[in-house]
Amino acid sequence: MIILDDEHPTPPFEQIRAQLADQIRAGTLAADQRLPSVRQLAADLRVATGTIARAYAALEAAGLISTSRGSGTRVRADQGLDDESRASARRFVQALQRRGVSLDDALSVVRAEWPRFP
Amino acid sequence: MLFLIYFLLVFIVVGIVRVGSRKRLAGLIVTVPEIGAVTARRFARSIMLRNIAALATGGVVLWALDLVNQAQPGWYGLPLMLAPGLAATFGLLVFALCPTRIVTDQSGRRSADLVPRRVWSYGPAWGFLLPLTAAGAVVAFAIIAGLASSTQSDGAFRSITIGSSTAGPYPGWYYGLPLIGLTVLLAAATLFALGRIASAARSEQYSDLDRAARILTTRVVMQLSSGALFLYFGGILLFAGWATGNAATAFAPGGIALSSVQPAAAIGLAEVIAGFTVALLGGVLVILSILDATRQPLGRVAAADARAVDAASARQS
Repeated sequence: MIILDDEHPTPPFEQIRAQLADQIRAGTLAADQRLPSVRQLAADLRVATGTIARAYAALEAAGLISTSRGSGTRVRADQGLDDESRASARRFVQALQRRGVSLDDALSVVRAEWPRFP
Repeated sequence: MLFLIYFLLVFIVVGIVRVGSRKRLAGLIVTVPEIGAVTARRFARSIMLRNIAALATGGVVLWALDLVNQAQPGWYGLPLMLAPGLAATFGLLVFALCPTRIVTDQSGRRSADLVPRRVWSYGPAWGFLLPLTAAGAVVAFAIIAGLASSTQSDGAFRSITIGSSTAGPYPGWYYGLPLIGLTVLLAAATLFALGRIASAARSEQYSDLDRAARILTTRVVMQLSSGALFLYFGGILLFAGWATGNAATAFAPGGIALSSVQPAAAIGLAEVIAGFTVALLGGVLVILSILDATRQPLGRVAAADARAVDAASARQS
């Protein structure tokens, strides 16, 4: 599931690209899973087909998905994080949610702490 | 008499199928909370109107081709033979070109699931394989019949000669080539219509109604295209059987069969029996498509349920 919010400052193309990339890295979208067609996703999200095509092109350039004429758009293998990293992230999220920390604040903390452990 | 038996059998089989599938069809009736009743009813009505428009278009094409057939006796019934397939093709184009979707208030927040909707997502596999196999059989039979056909005095391949006896009308190249083209056209129109049903925008708020409508519409499309295909396949098998049987049989002046050439006479009889059965199946499917096309997917409107309302508004916001 991806959600598009018109009031979000990020442009629709980037919202779609980022959510798909996150789901691929988190393993929610499994390797070789087929993604919906550009036309289907554009119709459901009520955006131009070019917006979806651009998001797919960016994901393809990042090596996260591959597109071929016969088999459509599929998630490439070995793009997700390992199980241990995902479990750590889950524990981190649960702990912060219990404390009522928002997603933006949690990400700020991660960004601030990241360079301290090179 | 044969027509009477045919229609009687069609309605008996339709009755049996409807009683047998009552439970499954009941699962396609959706209940919506009262708060969304107006939108849901509008959607259900638009589906019904689109379906009736598609069927009416098919009916008009049938009627027009019957007129052409009467006006052009020199075409030897070709317009009538093409009529079921062409009527279904035009009906399917109306389906494809008038997609319906649930119109709700424009929300700044939309969602989409990441499961691809395919042409075959809303029906059982056999529902797609059966007509595909039948289409292959039509093309194969048209080629075989074309190779077995002989020319009439005007040079058209529309009769069959066995020994020194010639009989017609036979589905030779004169009928076979247009029928092959029609089969390809019908398959393309069916795929186009199914593709449009699958790719139409999904409704987040009325997901059950959306799914039920897609399943019902896919049923109508498959029944209509398969029914038309089986109708004209049955027709050409019947004509081939009658012509083969007549060419293989020597008749006395009173119309009494004296002797028959085997296995041609047996093949002719087998074609007549197969043709009647296939045409029966075609008739059943067309009637079922009409019944499904005029069926409302919206069963009843539930009393406004606080949780449902909350959930709907939460998704909207």
